[in-house]
Amino acid sequence: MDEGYLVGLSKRGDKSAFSSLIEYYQDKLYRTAYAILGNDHDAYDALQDCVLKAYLAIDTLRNDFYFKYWINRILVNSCNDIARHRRKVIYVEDTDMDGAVEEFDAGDVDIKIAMGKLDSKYRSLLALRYYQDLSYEDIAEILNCPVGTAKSRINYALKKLRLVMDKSGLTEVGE
Amino acid sequence: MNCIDFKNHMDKFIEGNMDDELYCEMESHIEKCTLCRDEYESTVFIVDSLRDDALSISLNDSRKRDLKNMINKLPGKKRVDFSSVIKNMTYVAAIFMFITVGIHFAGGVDISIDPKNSNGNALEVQIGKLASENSELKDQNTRLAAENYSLRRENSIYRIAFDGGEMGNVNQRIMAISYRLERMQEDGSLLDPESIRTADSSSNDVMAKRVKPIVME
Repeated sequence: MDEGYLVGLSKRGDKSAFSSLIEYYQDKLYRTAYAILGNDHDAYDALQDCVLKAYLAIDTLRNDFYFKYWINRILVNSCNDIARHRRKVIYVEDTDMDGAVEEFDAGDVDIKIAMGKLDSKYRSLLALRYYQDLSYEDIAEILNCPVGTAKSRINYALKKLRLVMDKSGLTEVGE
Repeated sequence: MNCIDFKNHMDKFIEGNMDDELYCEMESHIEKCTLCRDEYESTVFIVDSLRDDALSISLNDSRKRDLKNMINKLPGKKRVDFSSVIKNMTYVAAIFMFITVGIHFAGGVDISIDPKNSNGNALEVQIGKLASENSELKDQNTRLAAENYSLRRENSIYRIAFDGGEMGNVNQRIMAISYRLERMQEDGSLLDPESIRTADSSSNDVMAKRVKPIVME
């Protein structure tokens, strides 16, 4: 996919080009939104909101090759808005995980519970790093911070997650 | 390698993104240090769990279709492409310059109004006619204004003389009669006894009575 070319077309109002871009990113974006918000409905709302904002503002994107960072930034902001708006503390037990638990093994459920207990800013970092498999450089670009800062924040988020899991007795390691 | 160094490089160690020498040092450290090994193993477990969890999440087909429909239903953008506008303007300017330079080198075109030119001449004649008409109208206007003033003055005096008997003072009436007599003298009607008689004898008589003592003085 020639991302720069498609972004250029989208800027000129080509909806099919924009649709192709979204098709390429939609799974990754949805996964990230899901990891941050913890449930399908909110994740899909965030994705729709992100797509709409991106469509309306794509002509403000200066560098066509920064679409990946730009749309992720919009998504994270949309997720934060939704989380703030609904004033939710996302615990996995309170959400639609009851229906979805059957699809995952015990390890998956554990990590979801632990993620739900983390603060949203740490969830965003872990979502970008491990749910979307972005590099530290990419995350630094999205969060508009130095690479070292992004790296230390992610390590801190991992440490917090580990503490949550240890506290909840969710880690299997060392048992 | 100490524990701090190990923790500093742990993320790269987990990713396997480091040189062999450092990797060996890291491995030898976790063999010796139980705390670091536990931390490493728990972190690897969490990272693997996160990645496994990520794989289990996907957008279902109906949602994908909905999203595509949503994009298709979005209003089209009416954008002004300034780059193309500037480009077109550049072309227009270039063509204009080309024509101007071409005309200049071809001897030029005199666009001034030549009196010898029939069109120019007709225009000048028309302008002259309009100017003289304007002048005539101005003169006429001045004459009419003077006439109007004169008539108004006369009217005023007559009014005082004949109708203002009860209102005007004696001097005004005297002035009015004198003026009227002058006028009559000018147009020759003063010689006509009939005109003198019919020129409101009653009011003149009245006035004469009233005026008499003062006029005599």
